[in-house]
Amino acid sequence: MVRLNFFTLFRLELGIKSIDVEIEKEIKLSDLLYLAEKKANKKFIHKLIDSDGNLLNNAIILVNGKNVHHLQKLETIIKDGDELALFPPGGGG
Amino acid sequence: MANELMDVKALRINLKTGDIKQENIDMELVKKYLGGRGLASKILKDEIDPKIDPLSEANKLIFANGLLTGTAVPTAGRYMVVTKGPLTGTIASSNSGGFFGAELRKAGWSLVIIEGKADKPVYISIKDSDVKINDASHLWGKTTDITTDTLIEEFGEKNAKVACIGPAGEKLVKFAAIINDKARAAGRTGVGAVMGSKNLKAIVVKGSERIDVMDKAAFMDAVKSKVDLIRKDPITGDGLPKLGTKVLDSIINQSGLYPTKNFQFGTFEYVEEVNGEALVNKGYLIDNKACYACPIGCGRDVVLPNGRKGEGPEYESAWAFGADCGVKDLIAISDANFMCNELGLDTISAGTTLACAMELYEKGYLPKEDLKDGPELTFGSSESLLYYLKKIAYREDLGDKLAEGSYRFAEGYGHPELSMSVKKQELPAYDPRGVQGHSLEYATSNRGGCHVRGYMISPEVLGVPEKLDPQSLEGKAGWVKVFQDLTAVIDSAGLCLFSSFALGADDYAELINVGTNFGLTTDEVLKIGERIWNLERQFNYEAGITPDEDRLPDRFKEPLPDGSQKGSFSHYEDLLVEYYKARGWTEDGIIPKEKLQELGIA
Repeated sequence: MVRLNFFTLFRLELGIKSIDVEIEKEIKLSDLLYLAEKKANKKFIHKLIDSDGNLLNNAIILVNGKNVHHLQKLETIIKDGDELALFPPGGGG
Repeated sequence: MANELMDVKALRINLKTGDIKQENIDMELVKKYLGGRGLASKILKDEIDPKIDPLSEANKLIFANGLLTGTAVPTAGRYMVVTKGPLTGTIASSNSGGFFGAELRKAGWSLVIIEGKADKPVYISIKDSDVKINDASHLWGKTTDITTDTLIEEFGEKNAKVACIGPAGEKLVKFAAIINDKARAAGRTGVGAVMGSKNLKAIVVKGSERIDVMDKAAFMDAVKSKVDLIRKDPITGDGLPKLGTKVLDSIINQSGLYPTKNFQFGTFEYVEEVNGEALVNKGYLIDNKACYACPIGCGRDVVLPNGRKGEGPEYESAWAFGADCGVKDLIAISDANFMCNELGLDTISAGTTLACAMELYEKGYLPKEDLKDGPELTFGSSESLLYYLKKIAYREDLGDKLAEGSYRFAEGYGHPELSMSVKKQELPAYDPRGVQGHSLEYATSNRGGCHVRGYMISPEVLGVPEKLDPQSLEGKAGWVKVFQDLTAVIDSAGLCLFSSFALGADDYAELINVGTNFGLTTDEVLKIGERIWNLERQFNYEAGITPDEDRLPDRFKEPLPDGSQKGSFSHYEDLLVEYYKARGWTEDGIIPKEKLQELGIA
């Protein structure tokens, strides 16, 4: 099982705090996101990935606390037991 | 009277003699320093001895609008207060939004230079060119909200704007703020104490002339294109309007950079009780609020269940009273923020100073008898926040020592290493151990511990303009230099730093050029920022602040004990050499004469 935790505007607008996705074997992050979107029955991927399928510079996806921009981006391999944190672009100061 | 963008005027007011003069600023000087932070820093450095006591009569206090403040340019509502700061002894410049700056510019004034000290409390009233110094005896001791309401009524202009100090500024609290429009703060560096030292309670202003530019059609085209960029950007067009700056709590906590209990930890176990999402879900948030000419609207209009209402809390303020003090009570945190606005205190330094006191107390270095009748200063005590904030503002009991800031407070108890400060100003809401560029930015800030002199969190955590690995050192010194220089430009143009989530250096150059005949390239605009940065640094050096103070507290050499950055520590010392080189300084961090000459400073 992989847990995806939603924060900031995802939390408020999707009304979801977290969802669990069962995976049978290791999968790529992009595949996991589509599985999660299907399970949640709510659209959120468009706030993380552009229309060409690229991860947005300012999308924040952490896998076990590590930003996937510094792993293999959408190709990052997700394993059973991993925990993800998802944020649409955000900033302040 | 005509009010042209290219007509930059200063009011010079001597509170000792009562003299009020009008001066025209040479446009060549404006072309070199723009306005706001840059122009005022140049004037301050030319006019005062950097070695003076900041709270002496010899110091000057400059209210400075940016070049574009008061125009239709998006976010052009910013003004700065520039002086020698009492908390750090460095040049102090503190930035605020709201409507005060724009109103001052509409009255025809880009700068108000305050000199001397009044014999008794006074306030300044400005109605276009009608400027007076007035008795403020009846306002002395009053909180900023009451002062503002009273002055607007007395002035007889319901749309007048007020910037004032509260009791904290009067009592010379070293981190006293100047509050305008009741809830916007020139918060940092203790500018409110300098205002208090001059017996100046407030400035009330009403202006009547909009600002004209040479080519209005081209100007408005540029304005519209930048408004569109800001509205379309997901951060400035969506995240900030809906969640305000508190969009950051969850991001920074999950990133392991959320300083907790005086920076002992990098995550806060109760973050879900106090984050931006909680402010919305608990029903405290009523609406968002925008400053002058701002299409973002990140301000929070909040009503608490106890009936208290106000603006905020912002991310930094809520963190300082929340995670940094270990407090999970969002009502008390918000109330502490409101109280700081009313008393005229900087929320970051106030919260971080209390957090420092809590660590001193829990470790047994601060004896119980020093608390007098006050509540125990333990992490998590929401009661102590509200109690000691009042004590600080009025300098009563332990509050008198706390009012000196965390460094002097901790030093007084023999443990200055427990002050989480740089150059004696308290650090804000990002643990530097997990972000190496930001760590360098903290160490080299010209106004002491600060996140808005080169906000490296943007590339290192938020992925703007691109995502950098927060732990990598490669290229970070150069990034910090560019961010610091560009920020000096934004501050001097009178724009909000948040615009930079959507706009880049080329956009700022375009906005500066379209309103003027400067014809600057983007590189030349960044050179202005570099000039300002070096001028501030040189002021500090002449004030006796040496490069030895480009340092972080020793705590950040120890690894983070928790969170996703567990084990990380700051490598800022490794980056300093590269940074000094990128700046063209000596390897010891001194600005050589040739560099000063190249920038036209010497």
